Amino acid sequence: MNTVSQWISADIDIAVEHKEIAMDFALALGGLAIVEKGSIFQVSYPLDDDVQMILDNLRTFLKDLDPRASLTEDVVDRENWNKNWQAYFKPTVITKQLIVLPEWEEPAGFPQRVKTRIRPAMAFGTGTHETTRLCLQILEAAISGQEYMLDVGTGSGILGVTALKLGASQVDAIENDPFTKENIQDNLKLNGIESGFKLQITETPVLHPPYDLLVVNIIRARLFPILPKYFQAVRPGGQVIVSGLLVSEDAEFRGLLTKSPWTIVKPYTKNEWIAYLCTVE
Amino acid sequence: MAKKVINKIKLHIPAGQANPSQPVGPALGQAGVNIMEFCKAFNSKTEKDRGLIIPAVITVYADRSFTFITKTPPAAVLLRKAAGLEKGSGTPNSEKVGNVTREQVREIAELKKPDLNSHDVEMAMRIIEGTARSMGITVTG
Repeated sequence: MNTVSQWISADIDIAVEHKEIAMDFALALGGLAIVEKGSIFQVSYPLDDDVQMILDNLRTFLKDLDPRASLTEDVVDRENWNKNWQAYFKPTVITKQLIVLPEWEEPAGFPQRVKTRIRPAMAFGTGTHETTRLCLQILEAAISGQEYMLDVGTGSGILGVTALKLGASQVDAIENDPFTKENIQDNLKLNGIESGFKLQITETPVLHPPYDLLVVNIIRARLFPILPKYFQAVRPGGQVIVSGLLVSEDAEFRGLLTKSPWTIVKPYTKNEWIAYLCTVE
Repeated sequence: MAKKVINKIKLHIPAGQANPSQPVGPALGQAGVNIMEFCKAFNSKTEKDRGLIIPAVITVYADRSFTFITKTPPAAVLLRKAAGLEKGSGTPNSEKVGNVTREQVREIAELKKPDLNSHDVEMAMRIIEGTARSMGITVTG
């Protein structure tokens, strides 16, 4: 879980022949990632008690490599860096009956029966990514009304919100990133949802099985270790929607399911991504 | 018609660990890329290489859609891993901090060949050996 709110960003200018060594050293000191900007590279560290010592260490190393090297630092606060993308966030038609709209679009102008409105921020789930679109497409077919749903890794809340609009009676939503909370609350408000959506932001959620439906859209590395603990969460005859996997991970997923009461009804693919509708024995 | 390219962004990110905070968030955000979608795709594709640094080149189009390619980890990262070091020497000329064998250098050169613009392994090995010297890592065998 990422709970850092402030970072030191260091811009480093060094002769090109020393750049790779300098980048490696900067990362080995705990740098989070590097951005190359022409001859300069930028490395970032969490702003904590150790950061000054790290920068002193880095400065000494750089001067030994190249006496003309320079390091300039700046403090960066967490903000909604996705805002520049927002101008390019357009309505996304999922099916004939379901569309995802940016918050600034007037819903009356669209013919779909279900219109999920989203404020794009720093939580995953705007309806544009293949994994979300596949989930929404399957969700529309899976919901007949009054389902009690578990939404694991809710992100922006888009799947839980849409499930309620499609007719689900209650959604238990789980998320481990505390910075998504405000965005989820905004999206609930935008969609007029005042009850039925229960959010837990935690690494150790409390479940209230049996659920009628489980929806999870998480990448393989994070999904596979936690998936077995949800095998018994859905009642016999219930449904499970799994998304976030690559087509190349299909065999591994099917292998994991041999230890579960879940049976794949149908896989759905979009580009390199795959999602599944499963039933529970 | 091919989409118009408006930007190319070069990042070095630990495999499987891209997240929307500093510095990935601002770098992609300034270019108008959907940061969360990049992180999901990058992490999914690089998870198998966890523990390594993966360079990625992101191509941003006029409609702010994007594609990206990943490259082989930097030679310095591979050398450090081969030598079992946390970091290279701060004073490589006077302080040697580790050792790799010629065979390890050959393995790294084979891996790096596509990104070194070198079809000749011996040439690639000489480049890798130069990087090793700059890090205070000796090559033996």
